[in-house]
Amino acid sequence: MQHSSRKYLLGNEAIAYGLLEAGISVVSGYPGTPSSEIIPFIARNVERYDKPPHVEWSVNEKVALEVAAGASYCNVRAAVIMKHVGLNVAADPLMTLAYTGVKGGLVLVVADDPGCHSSQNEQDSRRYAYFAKIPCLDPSTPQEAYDFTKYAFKLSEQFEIPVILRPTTRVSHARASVKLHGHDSDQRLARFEKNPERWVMVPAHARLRHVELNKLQPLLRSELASLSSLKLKKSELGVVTSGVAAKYVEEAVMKLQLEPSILRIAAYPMNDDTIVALINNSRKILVVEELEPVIEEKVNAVAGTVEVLGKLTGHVPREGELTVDVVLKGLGQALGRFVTTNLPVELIAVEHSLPSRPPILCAGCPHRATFYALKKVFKKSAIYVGDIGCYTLGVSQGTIDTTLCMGASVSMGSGFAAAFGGDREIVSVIGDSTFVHTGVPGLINAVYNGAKMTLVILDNNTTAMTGHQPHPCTGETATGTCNFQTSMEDLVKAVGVQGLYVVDPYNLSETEEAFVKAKDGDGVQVVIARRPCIISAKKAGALSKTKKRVTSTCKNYFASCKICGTLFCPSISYSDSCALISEDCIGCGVCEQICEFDAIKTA
Amino acid sequence: MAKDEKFDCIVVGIGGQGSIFASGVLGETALREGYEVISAETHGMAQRGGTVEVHVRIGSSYGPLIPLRSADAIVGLEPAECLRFARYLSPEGTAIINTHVVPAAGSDYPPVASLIHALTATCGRVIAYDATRLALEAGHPQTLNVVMLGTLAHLLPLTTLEDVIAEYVPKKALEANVRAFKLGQKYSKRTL
Repeated sequence: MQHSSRKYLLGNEAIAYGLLEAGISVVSGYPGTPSSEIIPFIARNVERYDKPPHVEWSVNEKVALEVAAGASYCNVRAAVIMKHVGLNVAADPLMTLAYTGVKGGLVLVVADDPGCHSSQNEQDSRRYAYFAKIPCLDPSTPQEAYDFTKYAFKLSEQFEIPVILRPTTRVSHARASVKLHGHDSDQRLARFEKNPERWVMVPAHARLRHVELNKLQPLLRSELASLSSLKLKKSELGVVTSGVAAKYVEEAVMKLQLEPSILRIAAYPMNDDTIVALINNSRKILVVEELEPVIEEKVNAVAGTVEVLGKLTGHVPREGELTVDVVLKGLGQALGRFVTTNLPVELIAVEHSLPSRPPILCAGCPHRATFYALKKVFKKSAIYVGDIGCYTLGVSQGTIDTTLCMGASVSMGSGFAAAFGGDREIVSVIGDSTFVHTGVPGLINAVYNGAKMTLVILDNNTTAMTGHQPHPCTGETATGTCNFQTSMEDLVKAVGVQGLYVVDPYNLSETEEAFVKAKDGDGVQVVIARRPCIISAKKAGALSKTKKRVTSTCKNYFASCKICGTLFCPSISYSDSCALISEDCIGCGVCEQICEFDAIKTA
Repeated sequence: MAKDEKFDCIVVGIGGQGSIFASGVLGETALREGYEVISAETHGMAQRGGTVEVHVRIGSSYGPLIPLRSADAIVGLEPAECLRFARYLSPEGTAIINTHVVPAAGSDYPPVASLIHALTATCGRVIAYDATRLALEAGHPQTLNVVMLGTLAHLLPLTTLEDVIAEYVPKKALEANVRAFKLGQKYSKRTL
């Protein structure tokens, strides 16, 4: 990595190269799509370095940011990686970190997800940057993501302020030719200078630091102005754009053979001067940006009598991700031209007949068995308070009634319990990684405040949804070294729950028995349903040794019972109402246990 | 350095069929042959049975997503998935479609002939064949993606795709993949 080279890289890999080449000493984070590939890429490549950076999966984003902040106070470079909703968790340290500022460059990589490809909302991290009064860089390609990563550290150190690098899904998960320039900074030795007025945010100090933070704002605006590009043309129309949308604008104006003036904003806070220069040259402005109308509001504030079109006028959609076609439509509307794409009627007719392929739990997923047993014992009438992970897919089995945010299953469960005062069965369902992330405080709270509920921890020994990252209960770290394993049982017991059961979900009778006991028990009851994720088990080769063959002799004279259909297993299909077992069956044997006619056998 | 020729291609299938690998070697080959290249991978929860859709833009300096009605080719590893993204095809574009169906649990599947009929009305040229059977003939069902790359190859502005595939597939699967590529190539002249 010493000299310039070109590589075909995922945006997240380009960011990882940027971090390594910037000489980071510490990188932390919590997995979340579309940011999850950055930390594993760094972990795989640390061995190339004489003095490898400290790489960690932290238990949650707040902890991750605080780890990075501690390192940065010591004058070394640090980065923290998360998805947009992770920044909500890390918002507490962030807001005051802006006051204390930093020493070694501190960069928060926060990946936004326009269109909710894999998220529960589509919030805009640029709003957080404004909220915290810190700079935000907005790359449009993997190349820029790489370049901006390296620049972010210089910016952070020049102004002693944390910086947000904000890629979106189409930058993080785009793959492109990226020119790498090589290592440009060495790791530094840690040194911490005690300075209570700077680092201890008691009110007297915080008031002074707030003044300093505000003083920085005009300096940041003029520093960042150079990142934006303004191309003035002899045109009535001016377009302001940012991020990957800037690329869509380039293509759309080419397709329509337009030559508007274009201002591309690449960093925040924005500088008024370039916006005013565009306004003075245009009669009409169209703002094309993803997520919130952050730029549009700014343009509106300085536009005077010039017409400003965008999300607030309905020319650009407020929700969902943009595409070239969406931009074409907006441009057409702004110019009073009707732009449309003609699709053949034959194609439109067939599109309506295509089968849907909704995501479902894998064949052999242990969660399926847990959900089946749960439904059987707690029935339809119970309220199933869910959480964030693969198990949200349990909604098809009727065992997920809510999904809000990480850790909410436990705390919302105690809220449901308080509201019903014991009149309804309340079952909270959480995964192992999510439990460690923010479920533990909710459990302490539920026990302390006397909730009557059952908590089911679906322990598949990994963070499955985001690509199998480890956490403290797995006995592995980001770099693979096994140094310590937190015992989930000890953790739960220490909280003081009144009943704790550990079961193997493949054993339905054992699992149902534990649920019955939990249902009849007092206070907070916890059932840990433990069985490794089927994808991890396959990768580890653990299946080939134990794999059982499942066969069906199902005949439709069993009254088309389709009991096994309630499992929603992708390996079970029906022909003339007879169950068929497909080749991708991994032999978990759960369907055999629930078949009332002994028609399914494992051997 | 960057060459002038442009080629926009969509590779689509379901999780595990090898769309990501196929688009990856396309991009890597383009990069080595001096093209600008950018692609977009949409795979949300594909490991759990969903669709994998990859846009690959060779010689493009625009964004990673291909606009509607402008792709030069689509490679559909599964017929219904091919049709789901056929709206990206240019009226002059080529569709390479595997006719081997992967059923979708709980949904009716339209007749493959109706899919091919719609495809014919959508683009300039349709190459429809049982690529899964060819992959089995080559020695392994997992070579499906390489069979279809073999069929795509003659349309591309690239010359070294086969070499890059050989470099990237696991050693023990090399022979099957070489056979798969050649079997796919034979179908490149076929049209409906």
